[in-house]
Amino acid sequence: MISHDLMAPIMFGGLIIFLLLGYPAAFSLGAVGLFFAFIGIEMGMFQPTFLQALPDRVFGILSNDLLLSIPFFTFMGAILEKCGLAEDMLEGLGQLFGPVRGGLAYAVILVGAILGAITGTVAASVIAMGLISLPVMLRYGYNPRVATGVIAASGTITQLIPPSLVLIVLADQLGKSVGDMYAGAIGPSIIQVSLFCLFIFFLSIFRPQDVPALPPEARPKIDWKLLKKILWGIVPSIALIFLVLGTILMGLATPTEGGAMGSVGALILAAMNKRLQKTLVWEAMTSTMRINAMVIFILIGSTVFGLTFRGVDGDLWIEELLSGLPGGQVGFLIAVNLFVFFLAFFLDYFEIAFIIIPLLAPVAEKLGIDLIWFGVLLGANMQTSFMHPPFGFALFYLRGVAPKSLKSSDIYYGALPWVGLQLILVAIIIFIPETVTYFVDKPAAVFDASGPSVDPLAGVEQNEIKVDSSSDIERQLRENK
Amino acid sequence: MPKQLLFFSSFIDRLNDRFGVFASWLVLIAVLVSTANALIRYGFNVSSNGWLEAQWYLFAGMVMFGAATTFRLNEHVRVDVLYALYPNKFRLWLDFWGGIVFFLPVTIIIGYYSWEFFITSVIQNETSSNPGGLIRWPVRGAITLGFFLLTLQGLSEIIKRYAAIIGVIKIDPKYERPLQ
Repeated sequence: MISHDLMAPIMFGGLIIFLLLGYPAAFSLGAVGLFFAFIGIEMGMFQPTFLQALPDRVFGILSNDLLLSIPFFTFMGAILEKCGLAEDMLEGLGQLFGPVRGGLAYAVILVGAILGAITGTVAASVIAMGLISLPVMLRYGYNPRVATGVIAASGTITQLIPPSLVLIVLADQLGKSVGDMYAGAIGPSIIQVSLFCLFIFFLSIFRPQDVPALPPEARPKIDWKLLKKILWGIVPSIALIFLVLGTILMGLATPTEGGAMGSVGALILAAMNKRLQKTLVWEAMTSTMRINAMVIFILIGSTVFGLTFRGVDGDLWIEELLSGLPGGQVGFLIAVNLFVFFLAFFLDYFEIAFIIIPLLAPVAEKLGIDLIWFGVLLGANMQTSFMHPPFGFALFYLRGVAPKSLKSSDIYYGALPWVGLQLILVAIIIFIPETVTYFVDKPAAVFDASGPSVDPLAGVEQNEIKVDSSSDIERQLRENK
Repeated sequence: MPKQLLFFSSFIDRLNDRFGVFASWLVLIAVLVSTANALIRYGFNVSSNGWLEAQWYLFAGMVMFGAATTFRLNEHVRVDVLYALYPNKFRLWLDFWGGIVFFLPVTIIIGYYSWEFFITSVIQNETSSNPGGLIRWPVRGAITLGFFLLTLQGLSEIIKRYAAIIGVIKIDPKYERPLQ
């Protein structure tokens, strides 16, 4: 027999082994949960009726209005991504910045940040920049390591810049409002872009041969036509994103409403650019459906795991483990960030957010850590999961579109300084919480949504809709047994 | 290996792809419904609980009806640190046993208990506790149906993996992580 105290550590170990096997994570998670639930029932640690709570948890997830914003933002991004705006923007900005030393790299960083806000997928940004900017950079003598590094890193900025899905997922798991989370991420996003630009700036001083300016014969004339091309490529979609984010940040719209209206806006923009075709919409619909099903099923799997893990007092175990750390808040944050950084080597951010965050959040709250700060901090940290060689996702995409002549080792070495920069960002956020809290001011607090209420403003006039997570049916089922 | 099994498997694949098409349409419908809800709330300062609930009914539909075809397309994310190193044969075996030991127990057990919920909901004619809210059994039924479809898809994948292992069909167990 396993002693009660050992169940939680063994279960956590089991989780890691099950996940590492490589079976789809959603179902491995569920399997770990069920497996240990059976052991727990056998050992008399919980009632056999324990499993009956499962469908209700699934119901709770599906009736969560906040999660509905995930497919909306995915759909909006998918439509905007296929409008060809990345191409226009990259070409235009590249030509504009080309004459400066490091100019192409600055253009990539800027476009990465803008695309991050617009499309919200790392893959889209990295692929677009890998296809368009990488060949130009290599042709004009950029060091391949710098070129690939800056592209992969700029693609991952997507993760931190609102309206990123990571922030929605984190807000959901931390029980905080998405609006506050978005506001909190503004500062770190700006710092990250500045850090990246600074790095290129220093390179252009100390290793100018790595980031040459375009030779005079390759420089286009900077005229109205070029400017118009850039503006037409960028302005409408940026306006749309600012409208969507602005209404969410000011508390005028819920993230779900914002995402839905943004999607319609994206469709209208595509129509204006004469790019609205049946296949485009269909592709966006199907890819959104699949990504959404994948994400929500990881959440369902994690919920099964979490239910059992709490049943064997895993939450208490984690709390004991973490609250005994020396150094109070900072000690806890450093330990947690090292842990997440390590996990990010082999887990995706969805898995980290759904499995780990619910365990960490209560401890953080007890230590008096602002959960918005905590969430944005972890969001910044989880970006590194895209950049870790050799499994980093961004590197993998880049390898897919980079010319065959480029060595994989160049891509891997190229990523390292940028992972370093991201870690510097994490350190800055830990030691200067104001980077996050400065932008989280009062108006957004309208949305202090504690959990999945449907529409905070509907409650003013109408009865507020509550998610009946402990519905009558559940109670009756329990009583019948 | 009996031919009927492979027929059964391809029947399930086609069935779940149909549901996948349906789920994809729900994405667009949800976008339009939510936009209309939002605009009507701004314009006329009224909101209907029924239509607000319809939003997450559609969400439930796109998740539950889309999960099976997503599984067929191998787009449920894996931790591929080790998986990437496995030889193809081993990947097939992993998916075969994973289907039996991990996948089916999860879908069958949750599906079974959700069936109880569904039936109780139908018998009691359960409705939302919000004024003007919707009846609940369709969404509870969607959960049950979704897990049933997933169970079928799990069987189909197990059959196909086995057929590939003994060399009746060819499967390329190449895995690419879904776009993020």
